[in-house]
Amino acid sequence: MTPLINVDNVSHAYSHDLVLDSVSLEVRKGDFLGIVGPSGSGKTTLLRALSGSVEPLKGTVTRAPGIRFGFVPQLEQVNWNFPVTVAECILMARTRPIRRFWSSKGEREAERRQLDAVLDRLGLDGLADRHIRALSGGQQQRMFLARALMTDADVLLLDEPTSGLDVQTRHEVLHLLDELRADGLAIVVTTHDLNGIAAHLPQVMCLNVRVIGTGTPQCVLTPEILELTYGSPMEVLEHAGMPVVVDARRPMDGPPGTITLTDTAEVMG
Amino acid sequence: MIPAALFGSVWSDAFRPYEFQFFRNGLLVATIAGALCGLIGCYVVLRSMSYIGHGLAHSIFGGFAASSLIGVNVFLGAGIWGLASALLIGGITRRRPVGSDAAIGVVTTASFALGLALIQIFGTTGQNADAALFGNVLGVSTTDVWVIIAVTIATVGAIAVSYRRLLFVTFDPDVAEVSGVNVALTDGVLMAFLAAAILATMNVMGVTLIAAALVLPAVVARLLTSTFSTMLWLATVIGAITGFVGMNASYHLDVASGPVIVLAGAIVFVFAFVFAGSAGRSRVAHVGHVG
Repeated sequence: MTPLINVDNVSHAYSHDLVLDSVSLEVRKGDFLGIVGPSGSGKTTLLRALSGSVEPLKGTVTRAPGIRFGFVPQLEQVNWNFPVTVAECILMARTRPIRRFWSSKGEREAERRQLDAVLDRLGLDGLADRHIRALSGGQQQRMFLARALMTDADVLLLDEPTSGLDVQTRHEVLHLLDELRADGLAIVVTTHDLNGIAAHLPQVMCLNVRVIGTGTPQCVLTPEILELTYGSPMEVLEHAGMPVVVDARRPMDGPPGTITLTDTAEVMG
Repeated sequence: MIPAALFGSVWSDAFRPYEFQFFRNGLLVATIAGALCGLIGCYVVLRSMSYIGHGLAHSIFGGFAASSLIGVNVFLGAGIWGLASALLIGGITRRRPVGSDAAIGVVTTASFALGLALIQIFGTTGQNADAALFGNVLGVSTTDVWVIIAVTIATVGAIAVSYRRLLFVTFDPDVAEVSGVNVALTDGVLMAFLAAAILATMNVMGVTLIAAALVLPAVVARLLTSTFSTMLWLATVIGAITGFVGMNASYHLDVASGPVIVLAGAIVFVFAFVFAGSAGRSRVAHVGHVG
């Protein structure tokens, strides 16, 4: 299968700070890739290089002709004071073909049906006329997913999609993304959340300016690769066949590697 | 009880200026200019471009003075000057080669200072510099009426055709770019229409006060609504009303039209601010800010 995006030996820098060094990557239909790494490791720059909004200084990014992107921004970067309702926010992505004030009644009804279908699928029905700030964190994330879907995207790019969400909402978002992937979309997410997101994805890339490791979570989320990625020791345990990453630094208690997990929890009262 | 004769006198005085063609022209331009500035002002305010609008108006004054000096049609000369300034400001804002506020300040105030210097040295040929600076109903010609009508029709048409692109770029330019919207082109078109609106309203509002006409109706509308489409038409209506009322008051108070129109807008703002409640006030407390 021809890749939708082929990143070949890409390097990029801001001023004199190298943020990507010789990164290569292929994204194919149905891929679900998580990019993990510390702050400043080049995750967002790589995401933007995939979409074409950042032109790398070296290397090439080849995209399939006519490919369309849907982008879900970090919630922290959104202007929540902007006067826009959920429906207006989702429909602003419908810029092709040119939308007009004087669309025919049939066009408006067809668009409304499409909007209702997307709202229903993402569990946002009944919220179309609310201001975007009036939604919960999970609903806000799903609203931006809906907007990305309205672009008829082939590839969904999500920048820290679970940042600031509770465990239950994080699980819902992850489940929803997996459904979209099953529909044939390619999905690339950046995340700091090694256990909540990365360990549940089919493919993970550890990035710290250069690619440290790429493959399944079981292959990539190892103490060696994680230490090279984050620059600090990590413990990796196994739970129900999934890797569980634990920061091994315990400055209050002693040297690295002294963690013990127990099956019991003490209730503090 | 008001005596009939007194009421008749007040009524007659209120409509007396309507007998004059220059006033009817001025009133029409002020009303349309208010509506146009209100409409474009929504984009200016939501993109935190108020300073750009202010600077661009000052910059166009340089073009006004230069074109007046060399005898070129003022709309053509100042229009080209304004468009060049708008694109330069747009480029500076987008690429940020130096601090954008400082760069805009240098470009626009230098242009404004050049205009003042040219007028002081050479004077003007047929154009009233005071009218351009502070607005004057006497400075409004029939040509001004047609120019503002043409600019308004073009602006409304452009916004109608590019409604969602403009909304997307205003709300989230980075994601709009990724989603296939040509952000640089959309920004350029917005800046060009902003320059055209400033040029067309210059004689009524005056370049020193146009920024207020751009900002006030949009901020009042934001106080009253959380919906973008409602904000657009509300700001347009508020701008038209303040233009109409301000121009009438300008005649009766014998004060330049620009300041009175802006004061009418400020009074509307104060009333809206008081009666909008805490929800409305919180909406404008962070206009244009992320977070």
